[in-house]
Amino acid sequence: MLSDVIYTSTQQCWRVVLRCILSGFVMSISPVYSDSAALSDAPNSPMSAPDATAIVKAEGEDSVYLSVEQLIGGAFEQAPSPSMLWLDQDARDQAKSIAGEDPGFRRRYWREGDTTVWVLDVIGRDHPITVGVVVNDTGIKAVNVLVYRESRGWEVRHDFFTKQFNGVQLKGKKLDRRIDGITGATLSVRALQRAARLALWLHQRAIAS
Amino acid sequence: MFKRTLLVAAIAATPVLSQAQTLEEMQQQLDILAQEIEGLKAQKSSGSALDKLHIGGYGELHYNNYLENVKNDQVDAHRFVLYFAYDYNEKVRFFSEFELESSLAGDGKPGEVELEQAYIEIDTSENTKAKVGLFMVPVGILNETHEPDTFYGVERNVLENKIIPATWWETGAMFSQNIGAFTYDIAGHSGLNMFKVGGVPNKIRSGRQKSAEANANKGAVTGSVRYAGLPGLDLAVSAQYQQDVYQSAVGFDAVPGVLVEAHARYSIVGATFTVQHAQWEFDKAIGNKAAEEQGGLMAEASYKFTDKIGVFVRHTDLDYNDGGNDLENTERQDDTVGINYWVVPRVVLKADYNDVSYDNVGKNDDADDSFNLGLGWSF
Repeated sequence: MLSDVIYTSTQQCWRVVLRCILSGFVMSISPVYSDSAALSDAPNSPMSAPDATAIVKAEGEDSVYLSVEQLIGGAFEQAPSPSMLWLDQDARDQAKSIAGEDPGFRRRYWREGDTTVWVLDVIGRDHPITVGVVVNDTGIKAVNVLVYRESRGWEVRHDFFTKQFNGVQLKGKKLDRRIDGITGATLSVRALQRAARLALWLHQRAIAS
Repeated sequence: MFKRTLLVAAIAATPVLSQAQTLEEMQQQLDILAQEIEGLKAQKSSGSALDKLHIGGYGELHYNNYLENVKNDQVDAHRFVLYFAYDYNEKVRFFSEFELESSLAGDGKPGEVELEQAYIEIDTSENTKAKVGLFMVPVGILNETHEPDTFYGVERNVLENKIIPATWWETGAMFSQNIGAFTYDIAGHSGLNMFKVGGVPNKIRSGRQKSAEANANKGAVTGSVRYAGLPGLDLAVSAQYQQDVYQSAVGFDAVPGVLVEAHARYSIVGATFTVQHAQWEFDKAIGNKAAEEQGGLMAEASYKFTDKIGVFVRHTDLDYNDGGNDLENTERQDDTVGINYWVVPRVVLKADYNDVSYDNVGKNDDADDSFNLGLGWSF
């Protein structure tokens, strides 16, 4: 009796699943960053290299999905000069308690008006994931995976996952919205959440200064 | 008069101008110093082999209290795993997992020391990669991702223990490609050996050779396709063909086998629903009519109240051969309910109650009912 119920409900589940596949197929075959207007047609900006050494090393390698220049070019009409945010030990401790990440004693960022862009390295399982976060006063504008180096979980770099962060803000020490995960990519998902929290905190700090 | 006024104004302005220059210079000097510090930090770490080495691990301790007292209660340091990874460059890396199971290994001891993963992974393009070596077979949910903080329940569910059978590694080569929301894997690798002396089929789980001087007369191929296009949704189907699970045993016909597994998981507002089905079909040459078809179904619902606390309920329904020539397979149902408490995201305390019932005549229906506690971690 119980197994009958389970088999019937399973069949219903598969029907839902099939519908999801069909509705999601169109989205999945579009190019990786196609519906991220902020990043399309990014011009090459003459900015200096970012402070994340890993990105400089990785440029030109296949694992780079988006360059810092493309990120900045997509976020601003005209690429601003990079700014520097200095953080004392108290500020770093505060960042760690919110994001679980140490931002270091200074952090390079790009700003125009109330929009800032941050390039952060966060560890997923055992390798750093380089994430670019665009923030303005209404929250996160875009999260983009620039370089992905982990063995599993590469789905997190796609728009269908990262667009969940759009509009998210900090509420206390947490994001104000739940981010749905990807089975098998839990650690990469958590790493992106930490990057989002850190970027939001850094943004508040940069705007206040 | 005018000249004097001009001179006074110039003198008065001089300190302000030099102060401004000094501030600017100081800022420049600070920037230079900061760059030097960052350069020194980078210099200190780069070039070292340790910089390319990644170390991690996970483990779990279990306490099983069998309520009927037919079986002894047990405390077990179930898994202690350390892993090492090394990046040769941005595209080529080594990955391994080294496991001590049940604390004590050796002659007559309950545990085992196992090499669970050891492979080279190569990024062949932006969306493709290849693995060569000893790796996890891409089947099911738990087989490839089994850190204890990622699943509910002290013990792994019986479908992924007896049918799939996790943790399941083989040696061979695998190619993976990610196209948008779809990822597929295709692998050729070593096979199972379910042959027991006398031609009686062994359990599927006992057929794992663990790449330990494994009989490689016959191999297997596995393919899997996964869809993760909607956040919170995970759909996957995998299939495997075994050439001969008797590994060309002398005097016995080949026993090809096919495993088909499918699962769907959907998470929404803290609730997660999972259904999973796995089914083996073996050739009749396996010599036991009942063992030709073995499979099962798992359905789980869980709810995470906060980042720290989640509860789950799970049902599994299995029909499998417990090894031997029984006329009928074991038909087993497990109903499990429990709670996970994450001390931090990667440390978890677990408690659950598992009710096991058998459809087989003469099988003690309550002997395996248990209350379980667990501690798991990963780093």
